[in-house]
Amino acid sequence: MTTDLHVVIRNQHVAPGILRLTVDGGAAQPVQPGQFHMLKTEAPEPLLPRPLSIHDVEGDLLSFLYEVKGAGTRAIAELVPGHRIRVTGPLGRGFDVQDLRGRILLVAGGIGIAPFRYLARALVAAGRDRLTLAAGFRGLPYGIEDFAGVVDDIRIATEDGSAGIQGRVPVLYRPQDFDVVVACGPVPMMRAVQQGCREAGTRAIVSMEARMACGIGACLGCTTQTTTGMRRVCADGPVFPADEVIFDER
Amino acid sequence: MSADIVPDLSVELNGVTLKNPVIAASGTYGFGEELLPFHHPSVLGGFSTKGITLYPRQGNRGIRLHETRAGMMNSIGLQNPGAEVFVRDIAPRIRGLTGCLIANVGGSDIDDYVQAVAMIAAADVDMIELNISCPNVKCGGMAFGMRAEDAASVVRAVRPVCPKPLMVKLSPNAHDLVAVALACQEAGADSLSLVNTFNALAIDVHARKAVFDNVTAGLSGPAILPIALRMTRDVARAVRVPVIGMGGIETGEDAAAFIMAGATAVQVGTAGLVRPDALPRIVEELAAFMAREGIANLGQIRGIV
Ligand SMILES: Cc1cc2nc3c(=O)[nH]c(=O)nc-3n(C[C@H](O)[C@H](O)[C@H](O)COP(=O)(O)OP(=O)(O)OC[C@H]3O[C@@H](n4cnc5c(N)ncnc54)[C@H](O)[C@@H]3O)c2cc1C
Ligand SMILES: Cc1cc2nc3c(=O)[nH]c(=O)nc-3n(C[C@H](O)[C@H](O)[C@H](O)COP(=O)(O)O)c2cc1C
Ligand code: FES
Repeated sequence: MTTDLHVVIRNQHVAPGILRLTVDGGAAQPVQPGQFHMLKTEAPEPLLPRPLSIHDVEGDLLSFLYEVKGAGTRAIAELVPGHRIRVTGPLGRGFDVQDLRGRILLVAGGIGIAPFRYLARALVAAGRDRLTLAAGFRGLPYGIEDFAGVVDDIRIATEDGSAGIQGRVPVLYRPQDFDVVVACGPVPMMRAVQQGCREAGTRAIVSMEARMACGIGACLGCTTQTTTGMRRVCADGPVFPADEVIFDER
Repeated sequence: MSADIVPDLSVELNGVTLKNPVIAASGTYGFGEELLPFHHPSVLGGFSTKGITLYPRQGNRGIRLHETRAGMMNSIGLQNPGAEVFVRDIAPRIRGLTGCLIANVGGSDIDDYVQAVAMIAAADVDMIELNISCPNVKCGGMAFGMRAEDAASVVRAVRPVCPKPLMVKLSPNAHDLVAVALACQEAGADSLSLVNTFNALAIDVHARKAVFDNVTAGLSGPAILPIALRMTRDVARAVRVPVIGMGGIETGEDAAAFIMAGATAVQVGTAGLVRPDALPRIVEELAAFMAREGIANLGQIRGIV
């Protein structure tokens, strides 16, 4: 874990409103798929850093795939090569690659696809050859090309029918066909994964989102309700067994 | 330039010597251990723990954080493992991390405060910081810090069970802050820290409702600095006991400003959430500022404004 300014190598659109940022990794540290970093530009505003998942690690380069949502991600989107950005991490508990075996399904909702490239590469490197990706998008898909040559079975759903099957991600799979399901995306999607897997008796793992301030477990601002009490998404997660998470009813 | 000056940053606080005046503020530094990958807490003057209550608390549900211009709002709701777990498991584990371990204590009625302080002050901590100002606890918490007589009643009640130095943390939302400060001093406070967060409101205009479930939440960060600085000066000029100033400090020069306003030491919260190396940097910047300005020790600038 370090906090340093890193040089922007690339920061390019891969789709409207979706960019890939690559920074010089500096002191390359071991990172686990599913971990994240806190990023903040050198501008005073916005004040707080923003959490972004590790999208990939190649040699000394670290990359992030992100969607422009508000002021924080907009400020990051304005960076050009040579600019510097504060990167703190790697943070949190990621996916335990050793623990993922058999028929593995990765379920992504929108930008929830971000951590899956590095995870898929790590799974393939660990000899897992039965990988499926089910990705859902509102409109045109993005980030899928990252899985070419890594995952053979790629299934796409779009709500507007612009690509793949029209509908939401659950139309793409039956949980009972898999040994473990790994999900990252909006809460309604993860709730659906939790429920579907519970009914099918399939183990499920989710990567949670929360608003964060410190990202290191110090402020208790990012907690989520679990069967073992309020837990910090940044330090106790973001990856949790789906059965431990209690999704808010609202 | 007087480049050969090696400034002395140490301060004396109720008989405890701090190596420098920069203390991590309660609720923003966990129990000190979270920061270990980035710096050792012993480089600071000390740290104040997350607020501890008599019994464990789950804290608030729903959104707990919201960013504002030059600040942030929080509604954590005093999530903590309770006094027993703190005394038995946490205090012994973190004792060695700092030369000044300050246990921040919260409560919702006087009996809770008294029992919690009695337990925690008996543990190996250096000081108690009594949070009479947390704006997030619906019943009680707020009330004690708002009016002089309520503040005095809780300080008077815990004083006899607290053999350690007792720092009382004031709320900037008090109706008459100086009156509350004087009442706490009279009731036996050994020092006063200020400010806690400002009670504030954020509205999501698209959803047409308050951002936080509790409607209001506490504002901290650079936005509050000038008000916190003025309040620190008001209180420091009125009381005899040491004052620990805070609110929006981001740099060594910000810390120097609070000392000039009369603070003995300072606390830093939000800046440390923005970047985990902020507090050690503030120490370094303060030392550099003093060296540049030819200030040999903080006594030379304390309360000069
Ligand atoms: C562990 C983790 C990993 C993440 N990884 C990625 C990633 O790889 N790529 C990516 O694009 N995004 C990722 N996110 C989400 C990303 O951090 C947010 O989209 C970003 O912080 C928004 O900041 P902003 O300033 O652009 O928008 P803001 O102005 O902060 O927010 C825009 C809108 O979204 C709301 N909002 C902000 N944060 C949240 C939240 N966490 N939950 C619900 N509503 C919210 C705000 O209220 C506002 O309406 C991750 C989040 C977490 C916790
Ligand atoms: C996330 C968060 C949690 C806090 N928790 C506590 C607490 O438990 N007890 C307390 O006395 N103050 C608490 N505070 C208040 C801070 O200690 C400090 O008084 C305030 O944030 C102003 O300083 P700053 O502007 O440097 O952050 C908290 C502040 C924040 C931002
Ligand atoms: S963001 Fe501070 S504890 Fe998770």
